[in-house]
Amino acid sequence: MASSSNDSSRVSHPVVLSTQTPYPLPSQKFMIPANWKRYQLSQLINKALSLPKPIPFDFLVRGEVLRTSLGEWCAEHGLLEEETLEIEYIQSVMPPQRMSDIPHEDWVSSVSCGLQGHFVTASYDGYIRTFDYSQNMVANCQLHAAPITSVCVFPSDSTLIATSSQDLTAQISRIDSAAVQPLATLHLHTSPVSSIASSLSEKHLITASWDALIGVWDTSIPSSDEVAADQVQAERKSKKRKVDESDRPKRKAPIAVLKSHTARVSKAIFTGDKNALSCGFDSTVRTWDTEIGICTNTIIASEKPFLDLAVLQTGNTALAASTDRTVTIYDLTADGASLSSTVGTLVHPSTPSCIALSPRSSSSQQIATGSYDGVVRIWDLRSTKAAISSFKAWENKGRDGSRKILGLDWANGVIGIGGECGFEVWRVDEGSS
Amino acid sequence: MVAVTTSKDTRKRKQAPQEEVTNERNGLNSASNFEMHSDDEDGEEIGSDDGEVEDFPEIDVASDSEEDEESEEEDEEEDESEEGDSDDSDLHIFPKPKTIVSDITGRPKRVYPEIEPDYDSDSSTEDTPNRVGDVPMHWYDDLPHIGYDINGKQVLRPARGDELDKFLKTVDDPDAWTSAFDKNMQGDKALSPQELDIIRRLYEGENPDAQYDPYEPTIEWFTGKGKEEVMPLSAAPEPKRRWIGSKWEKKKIMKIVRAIRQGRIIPNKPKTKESKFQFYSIWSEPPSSHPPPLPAPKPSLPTNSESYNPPEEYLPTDAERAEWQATDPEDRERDYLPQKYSSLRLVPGYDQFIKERFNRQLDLYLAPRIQRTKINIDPNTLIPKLPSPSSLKPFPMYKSLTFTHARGRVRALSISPDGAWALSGDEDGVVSLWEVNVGKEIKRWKFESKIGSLDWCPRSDVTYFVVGVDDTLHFIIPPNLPSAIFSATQSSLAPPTLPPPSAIPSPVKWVSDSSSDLSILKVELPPSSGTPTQITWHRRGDYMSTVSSGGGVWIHQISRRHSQAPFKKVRGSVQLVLFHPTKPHFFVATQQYVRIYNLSEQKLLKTLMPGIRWISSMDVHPSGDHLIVGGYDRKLCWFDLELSDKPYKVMRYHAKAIRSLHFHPTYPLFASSSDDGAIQIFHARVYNDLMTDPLIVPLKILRGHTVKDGLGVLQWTGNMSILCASTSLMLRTIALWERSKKVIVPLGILCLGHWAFLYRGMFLVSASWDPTANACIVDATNPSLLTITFFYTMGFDLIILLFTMFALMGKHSARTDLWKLLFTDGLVYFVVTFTTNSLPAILNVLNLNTMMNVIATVPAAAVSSIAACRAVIRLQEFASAEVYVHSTSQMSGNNVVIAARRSMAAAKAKHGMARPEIRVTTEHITMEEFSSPTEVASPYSKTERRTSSSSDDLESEGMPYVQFAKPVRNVEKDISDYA
Repeated sequence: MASSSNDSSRVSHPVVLSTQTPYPLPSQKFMIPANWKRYQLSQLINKALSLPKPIPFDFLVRGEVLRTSLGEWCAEHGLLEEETLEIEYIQSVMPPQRMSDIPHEDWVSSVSCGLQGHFVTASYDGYIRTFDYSQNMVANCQLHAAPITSVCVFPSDSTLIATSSQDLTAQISRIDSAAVQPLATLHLHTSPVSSIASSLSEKHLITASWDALIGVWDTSIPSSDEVAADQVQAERKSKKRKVDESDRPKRKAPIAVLKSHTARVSKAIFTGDKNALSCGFDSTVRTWDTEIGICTNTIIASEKPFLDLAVLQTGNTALAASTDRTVTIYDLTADGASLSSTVGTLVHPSTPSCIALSPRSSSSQQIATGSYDGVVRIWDLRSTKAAISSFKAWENKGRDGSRKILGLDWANGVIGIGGECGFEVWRVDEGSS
Repeated sequence: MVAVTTSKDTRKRKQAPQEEVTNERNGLNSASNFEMHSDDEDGEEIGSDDGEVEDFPEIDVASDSEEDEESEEEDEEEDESEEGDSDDSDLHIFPKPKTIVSDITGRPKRVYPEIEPDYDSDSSTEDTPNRVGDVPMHWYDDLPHIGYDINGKQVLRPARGDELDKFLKTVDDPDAWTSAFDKNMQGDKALSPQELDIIRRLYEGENPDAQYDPYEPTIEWFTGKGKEEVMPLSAAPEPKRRWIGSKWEKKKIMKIVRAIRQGRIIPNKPKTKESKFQFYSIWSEPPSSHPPPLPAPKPSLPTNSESYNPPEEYLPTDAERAEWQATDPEDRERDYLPQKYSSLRLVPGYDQFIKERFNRQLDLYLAPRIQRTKINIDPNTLIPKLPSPSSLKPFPMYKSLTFTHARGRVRALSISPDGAWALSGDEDGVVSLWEVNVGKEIKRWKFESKIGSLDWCPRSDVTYFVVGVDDTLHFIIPPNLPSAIFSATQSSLAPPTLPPPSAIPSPVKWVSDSSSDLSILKVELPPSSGTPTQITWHRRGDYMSTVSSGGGVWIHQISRRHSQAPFKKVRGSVQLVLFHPTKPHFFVATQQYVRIYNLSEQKLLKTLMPGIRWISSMDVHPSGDHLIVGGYDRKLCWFDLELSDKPYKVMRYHAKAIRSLHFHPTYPLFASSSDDGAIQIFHARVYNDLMTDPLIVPLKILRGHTVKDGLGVLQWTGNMSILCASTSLMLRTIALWERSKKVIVPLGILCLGHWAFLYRGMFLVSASWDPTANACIVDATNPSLLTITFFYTMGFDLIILLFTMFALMGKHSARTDLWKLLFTDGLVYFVVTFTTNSLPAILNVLNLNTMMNVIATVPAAAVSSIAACRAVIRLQEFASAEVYVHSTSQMSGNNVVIAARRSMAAAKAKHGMARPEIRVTTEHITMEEFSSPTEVASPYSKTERRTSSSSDDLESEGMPYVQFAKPVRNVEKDISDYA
């Protein structure tokens, strides 16, 4: 007995520890006992750096989060004792905590936490609601007659928002604490607009629609209508026109129309000032040059209607959620229309509907996905086999299967979740003291 | 002549042994070297001589003289031997016999001394010194000894002289010439006088036995002096034939003579080659045309396992033994089981002996030996090779979303042509528009009655859908349309200038109502045609066909705003219709057949016979060449329309009735949904070349739904009738007691108990769908609880009766007409219910089977309802008029009617429960029929109408209620008789 315990404690692995966190260890080889687990390793780093406040770390061994002891992991993967392990450590994601729960009358389709101190939710009843951190409703106004599908905020101008709706238009509006003023309506699409997003410089907007078109717009508000009002609406609004001609939102035309998709485009985002990325139900992810308006690259997946899309801050990796219950990681640097650009797949038990990226540059490999079963999962892209952490939204509400998450945003240390049961805010402590 | 030849032959035969004897004698005489002949040989030879003589017993009379001569010769010889005997009597080696005179015969006889079986009697025990036995003595030629004596000592070779010594010996020794060489002792041995005597006799050809006397005097046994025959046996004179030649022989001879003369017989025919017997090879015959007989199969050599004591490893295990016994004798690999016996004598008799013999006989008798070739086929190889489902992706694999209707069953579902929106309509009259991708209800329309069907228009330039509710088709435009499409839709549905009305007047009205937010256009089918159960569009979106629950088929043309009924008369009730996707063909499915009509030529093209008892669903392949038809009897038939009118493939894989079938518009898939809560997905690839059959591969079973419906409502209605009957009488009793609490409390308690039992009884009977009977069959009840219910009912009725009697006897002693009426009614009701209820109660007590337990409940409930109604009606009549008035108007609108209807509906429902022809999903006998009187009287005349035409309504559900119409009418008739 004694000898065996001695043996297991004596067996040790050569390990090289590396990190991208601001807590690097000198690169040298450690002999780590095989029965050490994450906790011991984390303590080792804390002690070695003599950190004033203990910071928990997670350890990635060959793209996998270390959940067992080192020896067990080696035995599982058939590693010999002499082989040197390269272990990367990252700051642990603490279990997220629910901060607030704001019920809504209708489903929340999209949320934004981009504004400091405010949450913006877009709902299926056509309302945009703004809340401050103490859950007080700041603004509540109906912008669309039909369900709003997505909302986009401009951090530089906190009163300006862009919304897309199933009423075939997108809107740029100004929300003050008191009043709401639609500034411009974007007219291009003949089907419900599925998403709207702004470029990093906030000068351009991009909309995706069910009619397989992508519109690129600038954010300037025109002084007059760029698009003639169509007959029906003209008839309907003929009475109102005389009353508030000046306040009427201007009808705005796109600066470019990107046509290449063959089915519904579910999401379009900017990856730079000129480049855009889109995904759709035709199982393709396309990269665009918006200035020229051509599709520069197409990633064709097989039978994967995509629902949502996100690009990491590095700009080289795209994530696309599809209805076959996977989130696929694509490498955008790969040449041509390569099918081999799939880096990895995050498998979900239910359809993932939305993806949110970690806002911190230090943890740029972390993403959150929300799915139709009401569970938000936080992943590290280096460890694609299992989520680092997951939590259930609206645990005490609704039936099973009716807790769909439709919108997710991760900013300022909180994750905003919008869905069937309203809006919830969870604090995600990333160890950033 | 013949006599001459035969006598010659006998003579010849006679002479031959004599010659041999002489030859022998000559041989003996001429033999120069002497050998020691044994006595037996000679004896035998002589004996054989005698035997040969005896072979010819028939001696002609003519040869008597010769025999005499021979006997004379023998006499002479005898004399000689007698002389010899006298000489050599002392040399006799045999035991000498004594000649004595026998006491019995008085004649002399020779008596030999007894042979004593001791050493002396056996010459083999004589003491020869050399014991080497009968070995070749030349083995000892080179040795000084010639063998060994009894003690193992060498017997030395005696000294032998040379030739000179021999010669001298002959000179000196007079006995030398009578000595012989003894091989064993390798020396000469002098012969004894007895031996010499034997040699001499042999030389002389005499009997070696010196005692033998060949010339013994003859004993006259039968002839001679004193033995003459005094009396002949017969006194008959000597017959003539004794001395006359045979007449028959003469005839025979003459026949031969004549034949010889005529040359038919050639007496001494020269022997030729031909006359000689020809040998031939029997195998050299040419083969016959018959097939050669089959050779018997070679029995294989026995193996170790057939041994009576096989090695352990050959013995079967228990499992093998069981398997061997379980298999058919013809399928067994070997027809025995190895058995082990410790020894051969323990092996029992062959128990299959008789059977095997019988089989062999069968084999020989009329049964040709045939070699049965047994084919062992793995059943798995018979299953056609299908591609694996994983290679046929994509297909639906899991439940992604659930769209929930708050109330009511969803009866209709339609997906928009672009696939983004789904429409569903439920029995509550709610039509919901769903966003398919997230499952969000975008808009909701409410109709007054249940949704029969709905469908999107397949056109892409306009967007609207049609909802069929209550004789009306509503055309509805969904929200959030692009203005161009919206205006196009509006103009197509509600054009500013109406097209000219059709020349043929149609009973269908088209009403445009653009102001209404519910529907922009209404098509009103002729009244009482029933809810449209199916709406189907032509591919181009201009024509639409509807099937109403009443069986009416209409084809509507949207652009001309005209409807027409394509069929004047349809055989059978139409279940479904379909447009052919490419040709102007029209599929009409009745209950059992699918007919294909050509609409442009207006004629019947084909009648497909799927062999389904009740068609529930049908869909046509997008190519238009294939049709799938599903039925309530679980069958799914695939038709290749270019082939026969029989199904190409029939599949039966659902546990319950198939409800709906659909092809995928683009992928090679089809799906079927069933009452068992499962959807099955199939890959159905249709090939363009006409030679290849369609490939159908089952892919996936989706189980997302739970089945919730049961039989409870039916049972509920049945129990309600019993309850109402008893309760009405109870109320009357309470009235008689002038609402005395003494009566109300116990009766109320009993009534509550009665209700509780009947309520519990609703969940007793369970039924299941039986595909063979094509019906729902009761499979389990709780007989004890049913029995209690019946007895409770009977007891309750008795108590009511008693209370009534006491009330009538005690309180109301005045014997008015009313009194008599109440008295008789109470008695009659009790007697009737008691007798009718006792039958099912007895059956329940017997508990024969589940069917028998419930079969008598229906008449019981019906009759007791009738009795109760009768009592109530009689009282009603008594109260209204003294004179009997036959007036139906009196009944309308009061409780009696309701009670009657209750009983009617109840009887109907009970029939439905007991008769197995009803289906599980007939829960649509809604509660309205048993609702409170105020609701019946409410302005919603619908309930009234439904009640009156309830049988039609039930039929409209697709249920075979027709057969129950008769008992229901009987009930009605009974009531009217009473009325």
